[in-house]
Amino acid sequence: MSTAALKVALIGVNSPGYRSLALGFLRAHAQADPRLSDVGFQTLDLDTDADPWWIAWRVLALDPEVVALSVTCWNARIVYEVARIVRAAKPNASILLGGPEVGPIAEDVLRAHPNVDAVVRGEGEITFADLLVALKDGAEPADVPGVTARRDGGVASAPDRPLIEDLDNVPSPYLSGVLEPVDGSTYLETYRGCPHRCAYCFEGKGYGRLRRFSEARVAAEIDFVATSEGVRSFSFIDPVFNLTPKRLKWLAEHLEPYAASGIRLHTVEVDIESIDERSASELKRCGVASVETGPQTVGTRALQTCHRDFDRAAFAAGVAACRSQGIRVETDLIIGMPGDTAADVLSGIDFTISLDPGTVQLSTLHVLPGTELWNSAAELDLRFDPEPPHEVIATGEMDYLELRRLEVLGNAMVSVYAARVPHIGTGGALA
Amino acid sequence: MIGFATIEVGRGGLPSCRLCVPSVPMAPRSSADVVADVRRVAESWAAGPGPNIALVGGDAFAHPGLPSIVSQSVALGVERVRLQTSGAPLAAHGNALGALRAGVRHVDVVLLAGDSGNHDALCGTEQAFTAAVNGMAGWREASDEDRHPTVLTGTVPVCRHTLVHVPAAVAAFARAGAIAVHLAVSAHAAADPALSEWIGAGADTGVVNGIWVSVEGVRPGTVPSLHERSVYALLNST
Repeated sequence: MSTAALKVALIGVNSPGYRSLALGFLRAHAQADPRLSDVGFQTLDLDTDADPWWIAWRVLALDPEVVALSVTCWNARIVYEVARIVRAAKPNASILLGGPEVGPIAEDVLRAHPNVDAVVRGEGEITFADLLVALKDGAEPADVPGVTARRDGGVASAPDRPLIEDLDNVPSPYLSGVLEPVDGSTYLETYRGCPHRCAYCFEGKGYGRLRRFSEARVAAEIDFVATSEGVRSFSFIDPVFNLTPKRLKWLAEHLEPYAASGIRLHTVEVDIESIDERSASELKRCGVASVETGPQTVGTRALQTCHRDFDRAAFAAGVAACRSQGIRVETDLIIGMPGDTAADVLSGIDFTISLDPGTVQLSTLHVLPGTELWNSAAELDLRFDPEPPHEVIATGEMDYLELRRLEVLGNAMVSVYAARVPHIGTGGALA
Repeated sequence: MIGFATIEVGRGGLPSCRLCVPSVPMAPRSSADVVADVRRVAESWAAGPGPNIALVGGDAFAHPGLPSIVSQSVALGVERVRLQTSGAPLAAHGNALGALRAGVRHVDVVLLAGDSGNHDALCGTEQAFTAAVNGMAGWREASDEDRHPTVLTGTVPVCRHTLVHVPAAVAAFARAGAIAVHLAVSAHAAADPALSEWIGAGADTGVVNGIWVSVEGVRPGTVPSLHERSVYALLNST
């Protein structure tokens, strides 16, 4: 029988094959908080292809007093359905949400979803722990900085919580034993924030500046993961793996012995335009098997609207440098960027295919809460689905019909590129 | 856009409207001539990712030297081999998997209509539609079995007799898992007063089923201009 004063279930509804690193951080920090020493935590990492009723069954089987769910645009509809079922089955359980889909629009979420009790806004570790303390002590959740919650029949938001100054104060999910390294689905975070300010992206989560984990912390995590039994590949979730030449050199020096023993890094995100022969060589020393990069669009107006730089020659040189080291390149393009015409999108597809990067990926714009596009959609004549995942419906340049035609055409072009017999030196992966 | 250098493997053997152009059996070119063309293309390739070849002119599976042509093409560095066929040979035991394992990644099937009654009547061959559908299913199954990315596309030769069958033919390709259909409109069909309705319906049938429809041989404005764009480019290799 459990002796916990409070039983907390953390629920990740992830893309198949992934686990929620965010929930790992939340739990590692909360478990280490002495105020919560009598709280029991359990994590369920489930897939987005699971039925919400089945997810609810798994949650309710834990008999939790608190159910915390991480929400993205991809799992939001499922999460709201799970919340509805869990609330009906266990009315006294507190249902808490956090994550990029709900944080920036917390009050709207609570008004639209009566089964949700509170939303953790922004960086979650300290806020979540304080919220659990408040729930345990019977205090008012809406008084916890960073929380939006119900109060007096309405919705109230406490002030924002300042960012964590020293990220090393957040325990590592891996080193603390919360997350076990698993081959292929282990991701490390070495800094928070993003050096770019792309109008469509929430990867920087509004943090505004970069904060880094110490080299000692990152090195300890790498050592632990790379020497874990059965782990032959892992990756980093950092928005830009090659953030600076100095940092890349440090990573290469630390990762090289593991790469030499066959450990590979899959799909790290890079600024491809800053990759030359030297940095491609450093990536290879790191054991990088594949990189993911833009350009997202090559249309001048969309680039300007979204505050993105694009240097055609440097991009091509970066792809070539990676390929010369046997590193696969996944280039990403987005259909429906404000300012882009159909010709711009097709030009982007033609450009990326012409580089023979290895993989070309197309996606349709999702106008995400908290992004500049979300906030200035009307001004940009950008129409999108208000329900998650907030797919674009029409832009000032393309109507709904043209967007859908472009999706079909673009995906067919990418399929034609992908269907090939790779020959050594052009399509081969790092052995 | 990916370019394919066209290399003729012969003439005939593909479905055609018997009311317009009587179909003829495949008359193959010599394998040596075909491979010589492949070698020339591979050695001088400068058209982006590739080299890529499209074996055209007739049903490639009716060429007795096809296995050798494909394997030599791959040995010469060809990355994408595209074949055109009636589809029926792909249903024969082992053909689809054999072609895939030899290096074929792109198959283009010719249909004249979207049901057996009309397709068979138009091409003059009983059970031709069923055989084509079974062949396309065989190609998809082989692709799934070997986990190779492959492409299935379709071609509809649009004459005044096949025009009314375009939407159903596109739907048949969509059901078979094709990613794109090319409508090659004849001059006679292009003058048909009902052209834009049938071609437009075919294009829309494609979009709602997630399959791209490109149109060749019509006046600008017949369909939204995006449909003038194919998912690949056939390049003259001579």
